[in-house]
Amino acid sequence: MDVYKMRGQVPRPLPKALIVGISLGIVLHLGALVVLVTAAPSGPWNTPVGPSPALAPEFAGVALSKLEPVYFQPLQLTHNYHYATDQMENSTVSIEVTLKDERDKVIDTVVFPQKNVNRWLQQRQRLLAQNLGQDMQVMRRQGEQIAAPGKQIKAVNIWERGPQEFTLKKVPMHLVPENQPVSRPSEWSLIVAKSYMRYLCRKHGAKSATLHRISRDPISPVVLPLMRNGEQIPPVLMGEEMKANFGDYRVDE
Amino acid sequence: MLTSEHSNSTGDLPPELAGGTAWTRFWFTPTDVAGLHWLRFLAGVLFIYWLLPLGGDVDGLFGADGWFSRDAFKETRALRRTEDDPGVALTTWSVLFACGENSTMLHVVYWSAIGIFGLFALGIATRVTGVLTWVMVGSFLLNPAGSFDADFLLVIPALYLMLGYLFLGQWSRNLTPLERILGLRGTSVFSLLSARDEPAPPSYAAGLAIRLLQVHFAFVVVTSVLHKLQMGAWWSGVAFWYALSPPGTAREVLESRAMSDSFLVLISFAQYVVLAWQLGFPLFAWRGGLWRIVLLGGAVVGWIGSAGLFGLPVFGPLYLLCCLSYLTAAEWGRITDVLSSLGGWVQAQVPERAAKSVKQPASTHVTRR
Repeated sequence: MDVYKMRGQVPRPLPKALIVGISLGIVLHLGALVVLVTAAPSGPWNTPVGPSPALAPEFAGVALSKLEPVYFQPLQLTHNYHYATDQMENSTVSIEVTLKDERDKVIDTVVFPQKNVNRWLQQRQRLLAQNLGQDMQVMRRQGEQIAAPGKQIKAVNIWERGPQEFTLKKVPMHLVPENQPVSRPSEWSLIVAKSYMRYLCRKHGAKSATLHRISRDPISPVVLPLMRNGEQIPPVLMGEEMKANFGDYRVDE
Repeated sequence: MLTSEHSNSTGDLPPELAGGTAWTRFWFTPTDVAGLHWLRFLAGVLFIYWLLPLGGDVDGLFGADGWFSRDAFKETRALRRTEDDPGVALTTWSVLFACGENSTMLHVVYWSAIGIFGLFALGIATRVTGVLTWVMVGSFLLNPAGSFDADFLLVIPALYLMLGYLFLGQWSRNLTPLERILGLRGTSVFSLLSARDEPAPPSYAAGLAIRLLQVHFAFVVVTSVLHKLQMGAWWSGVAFWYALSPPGTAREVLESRAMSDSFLVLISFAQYVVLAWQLGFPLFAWRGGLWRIVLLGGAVVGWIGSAGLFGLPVFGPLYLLCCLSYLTAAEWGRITDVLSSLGGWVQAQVPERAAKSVKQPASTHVTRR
């Protein structure tokens, strides 16, 4: 500051009222950021029904619902800094889309992520594929369900194991198999899969598309010492590749 | 709060702050603008580095009929507050929405964004290009199926740099009407390097913008580590295992012998070092001296690790940029001096080479004749 004093370059003092006003703005802004990060779900934690994320505290959830449309969304500060990459135990996912013409003849097959694109694009393709890897457990409703007059019982798409791949099967909630783990693709995965097939059909002039997800669960480090000792490992921990058919998309539907 | 020694101040405080609290000293000390200019230059380069390589699939990534179509947007909005809510950020505004399904228009906006980032980095009309840079960074976050965590962090420097340049010099400098609208002249890094003897007067806006960036980034780092500590893999030191484990079945991994016990010891230790760096970040980020090695060295190692091991190209440089925001005015001054003298040395070499190259054709010509 001495150099600036000698040159007569010391800035004009700020008025007290302006300092107070800006300070208030800073406090509100930082307070809003605290709300943003505390309103994120935490976990997954161990619960009586298995690992599950915990909901955000009520005060933060309510405050965020008020602040999000008027503050965070206009400023594009919507990320809560809980990085997806911190969850290391995600499956590795790639996708394979078969494109067909009007006579159901295969005209092209697109595999994602592609090897012949730059790292930036490859990362985006990996992210897209990863969105299809979010399966959810299906909880069978207890008791017999009766549909309301004029309505049908809610049905759910579940994965059914076939000889070569898993396929989607729509079953009413009360017919979900018992005494075995049943999973389903999340609605978000189905939206992304449909959107991507629609894009590829348009790009390649195809009339229909079929999307396969090829995933592999990560291998836990506790498995290797057990294998070295010759112990029996459950197949689910062996990191076998799993192929799942997300179904067909037809342009004219 | 911090002492003035570690703050961005250039020494003594203005009279209205001299008796102020730590709060006012922290936020309202006018600072040398060199730091802000360097951060702007680096941020502009980073934004180009982020967006330019995606030019190979602009329609797919950002188009209304791309990977994630407008219909998919509507369907995803309907999932809000349901069991299937993916929790992805759905942007409410974007310049790209105006392009509709017009691919040409989309490409025009894309290349305009690259141009705006370039102009902002160079320091041209920074009040205008600062706002446009923030708008463009925010606009290209619209694909929730192909967006990455680091994309959303890019908004942080874009926002605070925009604020810094919007108000830079507006209060305490006599500016022409054009400068009040477009921005100050002489804010490019080339001007900084060539005018080291006549630095610009310190600025409240520069200090405030840098402080906001520092505090927000410290907030991000601490939140991120607290999130990591909610997961067993990070506590048990095996988080990096999953990223580094070669692809294949458990038997193939075992036979490859890539993941030996000693390697597991090493990566679990490295992982705890990462956690310690993030947990301790607010304690050392504002400290000078050897702590700078911890701050910047950690950011550089993080860059190498995130790009090399995890294939994340933008995370590392973004973290380094934000870590550089903690440098004091004196430290930026030293960096500028070094680069300035380096530039002077290069300039001195150029005339010599030019003179040699002028002589060369003449002698060749003579020899041939």
